[in-house]
Amino acid sequence: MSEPSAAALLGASAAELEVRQQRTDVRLALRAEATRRAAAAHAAGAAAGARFYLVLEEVRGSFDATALDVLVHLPASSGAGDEAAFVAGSVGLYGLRRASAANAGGDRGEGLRFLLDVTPFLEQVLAAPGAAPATATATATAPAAAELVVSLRLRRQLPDGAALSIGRIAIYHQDPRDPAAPRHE
Amino acid sequence: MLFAMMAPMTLPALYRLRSGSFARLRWAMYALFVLGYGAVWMAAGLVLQLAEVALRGAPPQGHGAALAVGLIAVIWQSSPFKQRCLNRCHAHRAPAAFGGAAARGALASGLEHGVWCVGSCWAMMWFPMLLPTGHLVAMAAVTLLMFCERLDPPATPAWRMRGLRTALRWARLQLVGARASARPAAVALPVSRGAARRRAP
Repeated sequence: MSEPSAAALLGASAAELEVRQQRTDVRLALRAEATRRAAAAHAAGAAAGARFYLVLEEVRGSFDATALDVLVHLPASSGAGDEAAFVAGSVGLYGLRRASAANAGGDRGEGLRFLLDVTPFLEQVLAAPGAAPATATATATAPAAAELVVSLRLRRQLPDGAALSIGRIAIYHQDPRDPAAPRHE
Repeated sequence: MLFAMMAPMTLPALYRLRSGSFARLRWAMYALFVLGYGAVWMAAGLVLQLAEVALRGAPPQGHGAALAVGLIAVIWQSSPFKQRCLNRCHAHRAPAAFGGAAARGALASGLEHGVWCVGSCWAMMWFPMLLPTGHLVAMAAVTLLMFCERLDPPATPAWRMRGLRTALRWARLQLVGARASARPAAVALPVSRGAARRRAP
């Protein structure tokens, strides 16, 4: 079995997020240099299995009978029928309550962690005009994608008094050709 | 002494920082974490040194103080308070990624980790300081025990001896192999005298 390759952080949400409404939009700031290098590395390593991942970290809450759709770059005015193309994945919150509950010592639970493959979305974002260059030989002065808009959509509205929070949403690039250390910024 | 003994205990927290931060900021994050962690231990070390001087005053070069602290360490090691500290040592927040928040988060993480680490290890760290001889051997043994106890998963705080469960399982796995280790052990059920008599031919 081969060793897991190191993942490079490209961007993350700025603060802990409270999900209360049916739809919550989050802007993930992407670090320009990291994104540029990831784009270059991805162009060379996509065939070898390089992927972009969106990670929902420290998901805590008191209501697990729902699911969360994660959409990337969903237009603000889109209708329900248009949204399917923007869905990066869905996560069931089964076990959320138990993972969030404090133990006998009063320590808060670590919550749940979800990982979604968002490679096609990031490839689109990086290929867009004004985004990071798509090849390793491209100029390093080109502007990189500054942010990624992630929309979280509750399949079932939270009941009154229930809470759902996400510690951090982060974007990573993983290149299997680089098992030791990430070279991205 | 501090860095030799506590460096292995910071590895999971440093790994969490590494995986959750930008490569360019990584060394600054490590430095801030170590600064916070070291500051807490320096303060705790000063208190332990003063206590050591006070305890050594009565019977110079004797084993009495070391034995007393060793007993305190054993009691603390099996206490629910220790488990609570260990649980908190396992908890690593997702670090902030950008700017001042990332720097403050790394420093705060070092301080927080240091506080729970002191809470977990103070008694064991104190013990080698009071031995009249054999400091290095005692330090190595205590470091090994502190490292092993971090391998155990978080647990409900309770009075119990702890520290070597996962390490012994790992050692057993290495020595006897996965197949033998996974085989259920023979269980001897208690049989009442009456039942034993009825079964006898």
